[in-house]
Amino acid sequence: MRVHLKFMGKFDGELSMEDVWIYLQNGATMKEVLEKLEREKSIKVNLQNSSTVVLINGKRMEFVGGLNTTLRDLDEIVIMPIIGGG
Amino acid sequence: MNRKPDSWFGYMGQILRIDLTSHKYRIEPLKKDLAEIFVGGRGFGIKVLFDEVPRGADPLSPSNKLVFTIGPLTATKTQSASRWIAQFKSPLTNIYCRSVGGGSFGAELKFAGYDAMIVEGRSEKPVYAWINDDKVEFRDAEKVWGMMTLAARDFIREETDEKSRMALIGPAGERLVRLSAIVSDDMRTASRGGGGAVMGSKNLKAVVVRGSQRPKIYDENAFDRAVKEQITSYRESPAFEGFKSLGTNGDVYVFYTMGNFPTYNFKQYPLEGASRFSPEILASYVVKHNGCYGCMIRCWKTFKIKNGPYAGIAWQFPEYETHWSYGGALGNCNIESITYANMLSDLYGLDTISTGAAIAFATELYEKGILSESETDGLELRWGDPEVMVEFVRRIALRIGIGNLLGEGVKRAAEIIGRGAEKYAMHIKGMELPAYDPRSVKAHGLNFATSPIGASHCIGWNKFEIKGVPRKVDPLAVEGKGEITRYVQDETAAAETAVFCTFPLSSQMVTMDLYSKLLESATGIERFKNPNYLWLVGERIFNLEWAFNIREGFNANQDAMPDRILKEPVPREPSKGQVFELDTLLQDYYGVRGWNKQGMPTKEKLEALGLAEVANQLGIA
Repeated sequence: MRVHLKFMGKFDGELSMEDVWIYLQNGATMKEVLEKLEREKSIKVNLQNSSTVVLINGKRMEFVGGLNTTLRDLDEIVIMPIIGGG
Repeated sequence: MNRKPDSWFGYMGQILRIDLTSHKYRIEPLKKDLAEIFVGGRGFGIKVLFDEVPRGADPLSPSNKLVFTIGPLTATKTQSASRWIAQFKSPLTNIYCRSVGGGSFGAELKFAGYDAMIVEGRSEKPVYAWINDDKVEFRDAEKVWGMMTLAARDFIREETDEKSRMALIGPAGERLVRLSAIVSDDMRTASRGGGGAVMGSKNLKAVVVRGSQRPKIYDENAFDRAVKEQITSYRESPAFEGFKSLGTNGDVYVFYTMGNFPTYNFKQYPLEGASRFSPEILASYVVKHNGCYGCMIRCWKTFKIKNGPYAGIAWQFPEYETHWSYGGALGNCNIESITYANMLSDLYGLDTISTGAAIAFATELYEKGILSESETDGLELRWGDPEVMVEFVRRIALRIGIGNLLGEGVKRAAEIIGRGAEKYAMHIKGMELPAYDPRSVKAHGLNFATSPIGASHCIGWNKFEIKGVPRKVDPLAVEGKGEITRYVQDETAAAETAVFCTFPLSSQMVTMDLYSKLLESATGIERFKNPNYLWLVGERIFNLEWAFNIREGFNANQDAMPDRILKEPVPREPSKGQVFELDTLLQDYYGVRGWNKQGMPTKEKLEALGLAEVANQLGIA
């Protein structure tokens, strides 16, 4: 199966965005996605940084099972920073 | 003891006082004590208001005063410290108000040689004040009276100096709309609390400034090192890139998913089409980046709308708050219409937050059958209807039909309508709630309840809960919220003496330690070397702001929250089922503040803050 990762809000000067597909075995978890992302694409998502928000199909990761969330084919994962202010 | 202006560092050493009744002005020396005790900006403003605005003054009468303040770091090499503040007794809330604006007006006021400007009295006829260094003229404003801000700006520049900077009002302020804003020449606004109406009541269209002086720095080497430290801190912060690329728009969708961003007048139903607010869609409208004087963040973005019924606009984008007030609050996900309404608000001179909130209030009244079509000028108010929203902005600005009622703010409007309308009026102390749901972020909600100006998100933006800095705190927990609320409120009050923008503070790009280094090296004032002293100043300012309100007769009973927030559980994730535990939160907060159970500062607290005279004046024993 494959999942679609979008990095929102992290733009370069041209306001483009990174957009990545990760291929996994069926039943893989969010944790495995992030590991594979680091291994294959050299993108490390620092979840210790509390300013980072992860959405799985539009819902915040912590409310659907955290890193243990089981993913399905074509799930959409959005990773974005909280900028702050208001 | 007064120093001569040229012996000051950081400061310009002068305060300009403008009397509109007599069309006279006075340049007063800055007092050393005032600088040392209140530092600048917001501190100067509340001190002037507390000392000079009599209890019970009608905010729209000549006895109210309007103070424009800047700080000792304004127009220096310090980044993000050139914002300006308008402070006054608010016609919206009848209590103290401070509203902060950006752009280049603040820096120009400093170049003209001033640390603050006090505006008092009322002119018989419309005027604008033309301040060219130490020359001040009261110019006839008959021609520009009635003009939208942008047109008035261009006419005034032709009559004065093409490079002049100004703070002015549009037709809403002239008509004393209580939701009216003060707008800068670069279309940044000090919009909360009805400052536009205060200027309107004084027949003051604009204060126009041009200056040729520069602040001197006490210790150039130490100051440059501190500025370098600030720039490095910006470059190393992940928030910097985010702010730089999309400003507050990067947060709209994520805050919706976090439950901060309220929908449908705080009913908080899931918002159909919310993903329209995602960063990549909002970014697609950006055609230009810009920013305030002396700020490398450059968080302003120009949106261009090229298609659809609002085509042709290129205007400063709606901030996070405005995407909510003209968007989510109304169930409207049409970005083009929000951008259009935002432009109208800048041109008419309206607070987008309160104006959108007033339309949301009316929409719910219509839905509930409390308002009928015969009372809404025949307009059918529906959630998610961009055309009606835009029409209401115009009606509120010009006081047409139902707009005349809504322009009074939701509290007054609800009182006039009756029939249970108050239940749907989302305000605290008369100020409409901004784009955060207190049920989803409880310290932030506690900040709304205890803010001295009413429901303001900027007076204590809770970075602990929202961003997890300087330490992560569960936004839904109740315990320990008093302390982190006090922390951000006092820190903000201290930072607004500079006058710093809240954005670098909310991301820890600027800390009080860094502020202290910048301030001490710029001014040479010894006691500013200690960051703890600046914390004390922040607390002093906050307590004095409250003292102003207490003198006006306010007490803890007004630290209220709309019924909906207290009783109706949030229907959507992630804060599903949450209500706001006001009493528990308040008692914790009063304890942390050293106030009594009725929410009043004690004599001991005021004395410890150097405000013993204030305690005497208020009869606090």
